[in-house]
Amino acid sequence: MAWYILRRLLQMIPVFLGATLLIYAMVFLIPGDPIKALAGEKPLTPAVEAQLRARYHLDEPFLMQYLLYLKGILTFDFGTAYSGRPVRDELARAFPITIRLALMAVFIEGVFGIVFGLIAGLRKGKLFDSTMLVASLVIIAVPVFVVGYLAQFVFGVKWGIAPTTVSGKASFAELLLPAIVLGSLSFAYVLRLTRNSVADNMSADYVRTATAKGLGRRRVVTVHILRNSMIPVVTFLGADLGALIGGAIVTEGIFNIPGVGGTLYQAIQRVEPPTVVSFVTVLVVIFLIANLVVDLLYAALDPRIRYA
Amino acid sequence: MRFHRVTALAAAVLLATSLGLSACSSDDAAAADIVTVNGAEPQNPLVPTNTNENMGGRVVDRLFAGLKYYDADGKAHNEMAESIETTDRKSYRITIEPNWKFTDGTPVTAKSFVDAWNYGALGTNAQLQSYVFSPIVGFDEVSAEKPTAQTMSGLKVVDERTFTIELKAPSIDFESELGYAPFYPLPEAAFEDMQAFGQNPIGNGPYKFADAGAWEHNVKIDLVPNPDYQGGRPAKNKGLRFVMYQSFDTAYADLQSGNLDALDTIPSSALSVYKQELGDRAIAKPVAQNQHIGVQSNVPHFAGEEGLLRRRAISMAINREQICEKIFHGTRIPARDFTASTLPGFDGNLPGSEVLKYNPEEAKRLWAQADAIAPWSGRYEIAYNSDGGHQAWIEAVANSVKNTLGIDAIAVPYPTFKNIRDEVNAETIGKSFRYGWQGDYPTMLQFLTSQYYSYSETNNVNYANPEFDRLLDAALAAPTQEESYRLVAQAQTLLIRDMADIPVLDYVAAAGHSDRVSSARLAWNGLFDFENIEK
Repeated sequence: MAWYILRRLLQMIPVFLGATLLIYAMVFLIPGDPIKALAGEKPLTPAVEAQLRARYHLDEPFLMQYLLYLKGILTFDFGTAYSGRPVRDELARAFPITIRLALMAVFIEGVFGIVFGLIAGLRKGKLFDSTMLVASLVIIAVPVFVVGYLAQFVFGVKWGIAPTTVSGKASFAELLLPAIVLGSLSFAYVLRLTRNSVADNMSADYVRTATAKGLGRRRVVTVHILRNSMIPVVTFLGADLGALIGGAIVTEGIFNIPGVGGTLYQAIQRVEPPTVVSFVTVLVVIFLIANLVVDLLYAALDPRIRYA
Repeated sequence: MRFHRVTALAAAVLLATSLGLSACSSDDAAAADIVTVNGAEPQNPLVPTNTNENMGGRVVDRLFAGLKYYDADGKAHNEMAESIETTDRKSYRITIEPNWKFTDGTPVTAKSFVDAWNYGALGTNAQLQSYVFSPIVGFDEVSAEKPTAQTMSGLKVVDERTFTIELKAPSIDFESELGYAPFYPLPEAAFEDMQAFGQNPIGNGPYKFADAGAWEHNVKIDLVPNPDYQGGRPAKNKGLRFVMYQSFDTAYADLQSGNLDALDTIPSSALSVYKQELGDRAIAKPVAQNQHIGVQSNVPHFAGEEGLLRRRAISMAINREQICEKIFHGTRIPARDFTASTLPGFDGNLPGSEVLKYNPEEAKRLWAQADAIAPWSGRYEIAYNSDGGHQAWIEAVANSVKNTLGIDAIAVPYPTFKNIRDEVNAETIGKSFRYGWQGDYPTMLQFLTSQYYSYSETNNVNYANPEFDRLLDAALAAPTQEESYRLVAQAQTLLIRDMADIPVLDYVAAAGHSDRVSSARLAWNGLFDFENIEK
């Protein structure tokens, strides 16, 4: 078990190196000159331009820039944004907010998706089941920015029962509506996954056995059906946490949440390798950790799964 | 059971990082009295000589007071200057008013100005606005990559309240320019650690930071009135909060729901409806920003007499009125000269300016004349950057040219602004291109010297006319503003005659305010007259 986790953690190193190199190369290939962008339409004196180029290692070849960046990472120095602020500060400010938003979204989609999916699966073919299937199809079909702007307009602007934008506090209450919007798409998938899985397991032998030996319906449903139906759902939720953090860009834009999305968007526009690469790297690490947690959860759900 | 513990630990770590690091506070009770306005994360630390974009600039201008300031109409008034004396527009003797203080309690002296300017000009400090000091004698030595002097020889402190400036050449514009941000003074404390200063600036302006750390990155900056301020633009409100928005759409939603008091840019998605939605809270005002279409003379058919005829023909083939109305819903107005209509001294009826009006018959006639010199071949292309919302109007211009002249005209998108600039600067673009200018300080001369002086680095179309240069020099050395305006008008008449490029439209800022503010006005540059917003 410990060996398994260690091996998985070690595997992250090449993934980390590959991902950063790839992202760095892509940012490097974005056309245009970041120093010219910093100047805007104003002239820059040659001396200032040369100074700035040297300060951000822009006068070095690509591989050298990357190695200098890596060297910094090893000492937890993520470089300096063109604004002169350490990228580390930006990471520490933006990630907690986005992670909170993503966890809230996962919680909402998980709880509602599993409960509604379970009910629908138990009542396969009935009215509730059909309604849920149609409803989830509609939700999947509508893009998240439509849901976002609509929710903002109706609940925020028209009715005034939810904040239209989120402040720096990003409190639980403020994040509720954005989290619902963010979670809505995956909610539909969780619901459908749970529903199908539960419906399949309903006719499984072990359920018939459990019922035959006289267990109460509640126990059959929660311990036998639900537990076994959770494997695909947990896989999805784990992978989704990473995706949600990335996907929060749109939602953060709509609700003006000062998280990863807006910062990353600005950094891409300004062609700032240290900021872009650091943010995406942290996203990659979160994704890897989420996957590891999912794999560990399997054993809790199905004791037959062993780690080697 | 071991894995349960590991799982729990992993989950706990995730939760802790998300919740533990997120503790930060904000005081919403105080927000009721202060005016909330839209902003965005400043690109650079709030150091006047290093702030070259308007999100940082709008804050810096509140925190500092210079020798002059500009009122909402763009007129320059003395702020800290008691007198600015010059006989030749080349040597200036400046006396500042007594008893001004920075918010840390230290006095503002002549040295505060001179030190700040020298800091801004010094090459090794890499200040983005360093070029504004280039007219001063000694700038070249100080601004070199390896400076041969630390201070500009053209700046001399005479006493506590007096200093002198020696310029390389006469400039009437220099005096108006003294209200521009890079010319603000800096306190002693700034030079100890400019990086830290930029995070918590200490100024002498109408406002100051509400507290240390009032700049909550990517969230807001809180300012409160500075009780020690004694200039001509004191704060009429209890404070300003610059709320940083990722998009104007979101800011507009906040304006509608009453979370935002003043928004200086209505998003394009709401332009057609904002006047109905906001009623008398909607604001529209022309500002000092324009859009031109230029072409360099190395493009086939655009050199010499033929090029002149073609540029005039294209200019008269563009239906500016229609584009402004149909595409921009009146948030643009047709250009009437090469500057902008809100600038002091603007005329608008310069001789020959009918070439900027839609006249299809004349356009066809001129085009035919050009064809007589050399027949037209190929197609007429206009480059624009697709990251700046220019597609619609450039396509409309291309269509207008196509329909009027009967030639193949198309809009050519470039991914980013930088792509176009690289090719324009290298003179390899090979087609017409759009560009614009936004005034930093309210003078027509800034627009003209930056863009059409034969040796200016920001001369996009390589316009070179010694007579024009001479007129601009004369306008800069003029004894009075009126005389200067007269010479500027003459210089612009030359631009029109030579059709240096094609001015297309001027901006009209579309803005709005909430019903909790009783008055909010836009200034000449399209920003709010922040000090005078009353709540």
